[in-house]
Amino acid sequence: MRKSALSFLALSLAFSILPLAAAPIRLLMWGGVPPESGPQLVCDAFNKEFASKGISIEYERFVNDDQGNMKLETNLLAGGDIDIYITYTMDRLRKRSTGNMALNLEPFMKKTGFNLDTAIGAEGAMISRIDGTTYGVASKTYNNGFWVNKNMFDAAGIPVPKSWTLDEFKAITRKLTKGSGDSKVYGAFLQTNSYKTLAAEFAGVNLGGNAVYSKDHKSTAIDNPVFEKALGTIVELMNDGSIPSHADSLSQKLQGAALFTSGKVAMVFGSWLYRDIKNVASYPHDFVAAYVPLPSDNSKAYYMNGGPGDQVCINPKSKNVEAAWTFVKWYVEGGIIPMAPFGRFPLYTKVDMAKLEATALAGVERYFDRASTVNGFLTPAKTFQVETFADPQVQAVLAEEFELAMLGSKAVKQALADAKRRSDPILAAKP
Amino acid sequence: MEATVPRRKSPRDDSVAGYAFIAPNLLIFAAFTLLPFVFTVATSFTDWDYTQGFGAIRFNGGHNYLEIWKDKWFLDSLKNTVFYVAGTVPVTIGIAVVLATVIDRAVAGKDLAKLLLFIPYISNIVAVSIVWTVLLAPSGPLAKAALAVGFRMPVWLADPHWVMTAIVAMSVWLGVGYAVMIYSAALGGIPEELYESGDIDGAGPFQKFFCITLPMLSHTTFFLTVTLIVAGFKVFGQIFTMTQGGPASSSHVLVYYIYTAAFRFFRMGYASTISVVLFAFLLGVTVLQWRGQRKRED
Repeated sequence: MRKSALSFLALSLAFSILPLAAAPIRLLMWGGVPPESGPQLVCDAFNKEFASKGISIEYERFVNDDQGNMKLETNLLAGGDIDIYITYTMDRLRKRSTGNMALNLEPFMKKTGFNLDTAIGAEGAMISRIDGTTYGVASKTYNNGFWVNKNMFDAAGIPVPKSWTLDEFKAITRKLTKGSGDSKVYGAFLQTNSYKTLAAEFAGVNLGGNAVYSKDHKSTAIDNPVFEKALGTIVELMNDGSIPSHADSLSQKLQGAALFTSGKVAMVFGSWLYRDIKNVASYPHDFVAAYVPLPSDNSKAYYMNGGPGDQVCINPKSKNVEAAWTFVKWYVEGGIIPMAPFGRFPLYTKVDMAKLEATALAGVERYFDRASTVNGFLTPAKTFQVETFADPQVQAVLAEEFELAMLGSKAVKQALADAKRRSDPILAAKP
Repeated sequence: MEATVPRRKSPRDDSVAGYAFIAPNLLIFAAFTLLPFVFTVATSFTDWDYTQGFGAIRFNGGHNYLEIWKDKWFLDSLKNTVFYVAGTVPVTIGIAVVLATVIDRAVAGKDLAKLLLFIPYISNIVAVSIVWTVLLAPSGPLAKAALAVGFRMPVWLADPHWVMTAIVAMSVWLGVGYAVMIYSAALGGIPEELYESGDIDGAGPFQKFFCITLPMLSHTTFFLTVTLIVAGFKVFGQIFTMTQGGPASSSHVLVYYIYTAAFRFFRMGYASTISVVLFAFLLGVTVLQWRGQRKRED
């Protein structure tokens, strides 16, 4: 009797363990890109390649704004439903690394022989680490800048510049502005409703990463004249009607993709709009778009805006961290390529560039000026504007003061002085 | 044979039974209101980045309570909240009392009118906010109608000087239906004889409104004033959806700043301090209500 009971117990245990051992692993990944803009293709490729190993992945999109990131973080703090996710800014990576929301990846890298610096370069490695430890592997790179309507440039007799100063940008924007009322064409659109601190990005192209902050991060450096020139240029163009005013941008929730492809603006800030310009079904147009980097007055160095990003992180509460690392490594080492047609290009140093270029422009050659797109947009820059520090309160102060200048409620000089007066005590009080 | 005397129920037995009955409610109250409140008050004396875990809580005395009075965001939020309350409460009550009286005197369609007025109050705040954002846009119907008669409207939600006015107008529209319902119920309680005697004395409709209706509705007005003030101090949904506190900090309100301090700046201790200050404001209003009610009852 006792023997049969023991046998029964042993069998029960065996049956309860066996299915677990053979259970396929289903990973869940959260990212800010819509699934149809690449992530689904990535998942499909991974699922095909790893089917025999019993690992598959599913993708879910979160909106990459304050609310969306809060939703992601609430989920990460609550449990292990999400295995892998993408972090888009350094301040968030820092918060997540120190807040037990991102796993230390060093042991996995060591175990699988993944050398971060060799794989993604020094700048990629820099934004993957927090205080020397890797918490998210940067996976993509891009050169930010303007998409310009080459047909309008040709009609105005303006050659598409390979680089330009702020004054040249201002002059061209004014020259391309024409008409009035509903038929008005603006020289440019800067999307200031979403990028209220755009002037700081312009300044960063001249000055390099962390341009807003002093070296010790105890004060701001926005008294540098470059900030005044950048913000002043934007405000001047808004005031003379060469770009849509900030009030219009805010109240009408203007969107760059729609304005640019409908021919309402000659130039649009944000090279990520590449994927919208490609999407002729949603944004029909027949002109050729050319790429121009952000303007800079620094003739000695250029710090490309954009650069490495999309740090792939693992949730420390995930029950499948080994499988999650398998995906992260695969993704960074080229699994990301299906994202290229949608504007996210691999950071992996050994990636096949010719294949990448062919993938990125396949079928849409006629909508892009090949020379500027390949040489300017697809080819990674030599130096990037890499932001490794950002204080959320200071960023909020800058957004408010820059916004007041753009709305005409404050003079540019006053707004910058007020921004410094408000920000410096915040930074000085930080431990 | 000794007669058995039934045991007398002691007051203690009653207490045990009473506590047993309220225990479930008390437990839920303790878990979801009392404990979080005590925790909030305790955290308000700390500097705590909650993403670092409980180990990161640092006691900083009353520093937060001193800091808020030098904090532009807090002062702007307080000013805007007071503006919101001062704008919404009297206007909502004023419009509601007139509408309720007119509807009460109307012969037909009373219920339909009340229902139509009440719909915004029960509608989803996000949906309503989006509709109003479109309505107030420079290319929206309001601006076009104004332009057609030669009047250029402000860019409501993008103008630091007008944004709170726009939010107040939208909130009045949102809340007036609720006040009309409360007033309508109170109007039914005014004896018809008062109006008949007014008629005999030759009172006109305005005299009857100011000398009979309004005084007879004073309890209701008092109740509405208090509840609308409390609700006004807690405004959040429309700010979050329509303006995100902007442009700059021109539509920051207290609850929005609590959210920002906690979830954008990761300053849970400081956010708790603002919560406690807001609680103190609301407690003050409630105490005034109690005293006012007691005075009236005496």
